[in-house]
Amino acid sequence: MSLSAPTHGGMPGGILQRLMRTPGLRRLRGSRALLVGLLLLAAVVAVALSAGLFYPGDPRDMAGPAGTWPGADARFPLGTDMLGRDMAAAMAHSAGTSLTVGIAAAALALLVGIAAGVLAGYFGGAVDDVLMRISELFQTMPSLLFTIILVVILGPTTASISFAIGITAWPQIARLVRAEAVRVRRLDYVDAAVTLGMGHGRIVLLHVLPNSLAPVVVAASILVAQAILSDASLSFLGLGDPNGMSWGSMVGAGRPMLRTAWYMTALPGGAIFLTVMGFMLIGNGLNDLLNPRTPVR
Amino acid sequence: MSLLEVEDLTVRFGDAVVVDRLSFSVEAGETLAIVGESGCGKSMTALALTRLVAPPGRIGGRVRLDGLDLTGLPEARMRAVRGDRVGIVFQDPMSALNPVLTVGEQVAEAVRAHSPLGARAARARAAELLDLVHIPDAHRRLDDHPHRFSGGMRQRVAIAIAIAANPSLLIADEPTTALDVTIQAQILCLLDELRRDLGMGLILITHDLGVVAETADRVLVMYAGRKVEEQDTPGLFAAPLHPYTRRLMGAKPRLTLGEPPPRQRLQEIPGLVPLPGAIPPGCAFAPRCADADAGCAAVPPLQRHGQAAVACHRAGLPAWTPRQVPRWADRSQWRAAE
Repeated sequence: MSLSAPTHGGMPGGILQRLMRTPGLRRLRGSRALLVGLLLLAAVVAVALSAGLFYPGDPRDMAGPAGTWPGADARFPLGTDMLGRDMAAAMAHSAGTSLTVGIAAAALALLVGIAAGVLAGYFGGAVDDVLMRISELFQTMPSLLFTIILVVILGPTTASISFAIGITAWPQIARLVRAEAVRVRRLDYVDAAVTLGMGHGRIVLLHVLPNSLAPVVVAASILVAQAILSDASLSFLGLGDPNGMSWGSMVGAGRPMLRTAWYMTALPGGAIFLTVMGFMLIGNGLNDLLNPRTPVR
Repeated sequence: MSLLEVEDLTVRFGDAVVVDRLSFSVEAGETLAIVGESGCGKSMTALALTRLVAPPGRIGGRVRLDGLDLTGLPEARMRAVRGDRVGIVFQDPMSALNPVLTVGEQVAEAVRAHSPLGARAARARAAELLDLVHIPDAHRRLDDHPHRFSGGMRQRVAIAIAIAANPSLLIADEPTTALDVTIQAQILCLLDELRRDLGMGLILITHDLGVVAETADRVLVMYAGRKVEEQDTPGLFAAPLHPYTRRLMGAKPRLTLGEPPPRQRLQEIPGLVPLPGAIPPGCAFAPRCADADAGCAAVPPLQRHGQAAVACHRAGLPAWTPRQVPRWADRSQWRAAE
């Protein structure tokens, strides 16, 4: 195993090197999934960033007649909802909310998960036991239910929703990182660092952490996708931020009109689908790219 | 006073004794080889010297380095000793370097572990060290990642890391086992050169007697956690005293030039090294020894034998002369006998 370690992308070191070494776009040709995912993500980000530009003002204001179908009125390319709000404006403004919540929640989960995982894996023993029992405590509860309870307690704001989603998602990351840290801890260069008289902090930061992050690269994008879905679920249930628009709340609001005006549900639903799909494709694409066992196309 | 004095070093895991009352010393500038089959406690000895035996294991005995007693040292001070006064080189150069850091960063990191040098000075020192271990074009290679180095080059880097803080003792645990023969010789030369130039004591742990003959001043033969023989290298190769040492030499293939000698069967030592915890009473080697007799039922004490020390009661008898390694029949005769 060690013989092939440094040249294989599946090994942690390889990942960063392979990403850095290769000129950006040429890489993408190898993985269509990654390319499509990145394009989808870029589109969503572009929409989110330009929302304020094209639709200044509050997307919740009534802008025209209620229930205009998409394409029926040139002023409202995506139509209006049952209250006469511009669907396009609402969709655009929601993109930012979804991305913010998704990324913030994933960042929190990564931060907590990586820290807990690397400490548990490196120190083992009692530290490992305590941290892993805590993570099991989180994992035994249905995470959506747990998130709902947290949001209800904390009050629905973008920050609290991100927190609630992130804090229920960290155990999976922690387990992933722990497994890697346990492997890395036994490698010779960690032993060598100990024989050099380096302290634990230095060894963890210098050797164990960077070499344990390989699987996290892939997991992170899937985590964002999951967080966006959770956020949409919360908003659909009416637990989203009441002061903001989100795709989830739009789906929820459009639900009563499903039989007469299905576009009010389908459009935000499609947006959620495309965004989540984008992150999932990026995750799969990275996996293909970084996994030495997938055949080169 | 010697650079390193080890007295009754013992490592136990529960009831299993892995290293049993081992005593030896190493002078500054001297190379001591520790030889034995796999599982004899060689590597455990190296780890025990710097108190790095993993938790269930317990270490006993005294280790004195440069007059400093390491046995009673608190862990924080022990950490200052590791790397600074004792450097260790491991067996497998492929996993000895961190794949995500450049070689320069890793050597510099080792330099900074024991000195207050700034980043720039540490980098300069790293280049110096790489130069010292004969990495060509050291300055340019500082920024390369380990995957661009061959096995031999990586072992050189690992050695540079081990000597970064100018230790007075270098322990090399099977440093050439994972390398091919020509590279082995280069690494051994390098270790020897560094020992001479830096005045370090060198402990070379190996199972390869060829390596011993080339580099060591003195040899300590271990079996089942105990010292069975200690001699200077010429003496050991001229007249091995302990039956185990003789059998080890008999198990080494010889390369000869010219007329091929009659085909000879390599003489292996029958059986295996006993597992720690299942070491037979009396002489641990007796069950595998062709010369064993009733006297082997007691643990043989280590006896002086001229310049050498040996733990075998047969070696101490005045009439006893080192017996020729029994000649083995060549294979055709074996067949005929069947």
